[in-house]
Amino acid sequence: MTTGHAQEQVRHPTFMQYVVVALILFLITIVEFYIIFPHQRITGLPLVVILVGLSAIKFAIVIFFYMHLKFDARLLTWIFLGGLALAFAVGLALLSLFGALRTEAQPRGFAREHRVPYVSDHGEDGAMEPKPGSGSMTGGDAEKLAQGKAVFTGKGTCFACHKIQGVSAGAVGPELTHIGTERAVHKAGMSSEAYIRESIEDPGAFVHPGFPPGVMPANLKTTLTADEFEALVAFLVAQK
Amino acid sequence: MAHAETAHHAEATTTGLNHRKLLMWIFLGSDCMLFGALIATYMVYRGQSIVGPYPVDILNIPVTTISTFVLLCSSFAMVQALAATNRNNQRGIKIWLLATALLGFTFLGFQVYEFYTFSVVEGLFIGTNLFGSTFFTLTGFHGAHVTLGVVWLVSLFIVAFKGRLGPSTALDVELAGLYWHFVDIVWIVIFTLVYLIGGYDAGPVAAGVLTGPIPSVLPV
Repeated sequence: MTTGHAQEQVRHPTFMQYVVVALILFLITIVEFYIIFPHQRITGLPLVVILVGLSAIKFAIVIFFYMHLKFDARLLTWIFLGGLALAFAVGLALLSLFGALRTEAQPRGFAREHRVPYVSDHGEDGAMEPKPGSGSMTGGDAEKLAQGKAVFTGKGTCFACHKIQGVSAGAVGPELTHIGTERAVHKAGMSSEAYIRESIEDPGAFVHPGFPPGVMPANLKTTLTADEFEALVAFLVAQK
Repeated sequence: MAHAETAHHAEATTTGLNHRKLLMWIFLGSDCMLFGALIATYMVYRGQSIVGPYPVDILNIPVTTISTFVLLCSSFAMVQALAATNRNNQRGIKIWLLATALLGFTFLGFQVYEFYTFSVVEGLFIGTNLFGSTFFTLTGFHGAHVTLGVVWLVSLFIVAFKGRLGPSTALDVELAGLYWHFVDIVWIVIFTLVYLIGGYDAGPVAAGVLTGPIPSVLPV
């Protein structure tokens, strides 16, 4: 017979409070969905911070209102948060132990050296349709893409300023993770490839909003061989 | 507004708290550690698969968002079931308990659909790659929790159907509710990490490391 019990009964949230809580939870979920679909509107560390923050809010709302810890004995909150804190500590320890505390999912050395192409893995038994854009690619194309990537991350020095998820992390210029998609073309009626070519040959022709003009070197093409330039364009077009 | 325990069989405990409720919270606290370990393992092996399919190839974010909504709705139905029990609203108890169980069952249906699509259709099994191993272990354990929750809710519904639930047995509903909401918050975390943040994870191929086909960014 404690006051805690009596209080708990008196101070359950009302129906309307529960409805408001549910609506907040729905709203946060919709915002989360909007942030990442159909493409990530934010990337990198900010994305992780924002999404983790939003879900932490949902988490707290559920335990304090739906599980009414807010209205219950304080000891129960400490017991639960204690377990949660231990879980966090174990998780962080595991992540740091395995060197996984990074913002991008990059395969580590072993995975890189032992990689197996995805589509050829499934192409033979016909278990699945090849993904659009990845279908009948010849060995020559693949070579070209690899060369283009080498130019991007090497001779062309593009990587220093431009981010492509999983390839580079530059933050000076616009991100190019989805540069090959129609959405990335800022000039009406222009093909993705033509847009990319123009942006390399004459960076001033269109400057992405939010970025200063004159930063991207205008002589980039002259520093590359024709082969290298074509490979770089092919690589960028493939960034869907 | 007399509580079950105070009205009928008041217990003097050293903590002043009901034993069953205390035990439930201790269980939930320790269950956090189970899921913490599973989630951390997923994150450790994230992006380490050397064969496909990778998350970006098969995760269906819109469908999973809908199933997340279903689970959120079931949590709302659960609090209504408890409120109805406290008010001794017999009809409300049955309706809301049934609604909670059905929504939980719907969530399981989504998961069965997802597992079927991933494995039989797309070729991702638990032994295919690190993504498959960690993904199926994590979501499978969560699904098992949901399944147990549905069984619990259906049992409660049967008890309610016999008219045996009311303010004096409200703790029975409350404990099931605590467990059910816990399952919901675990899903909030899984959904955020696996689907929202990790949904675009690709393998070494798409990362451009390999001279091979580049998968599309979005599963269609």
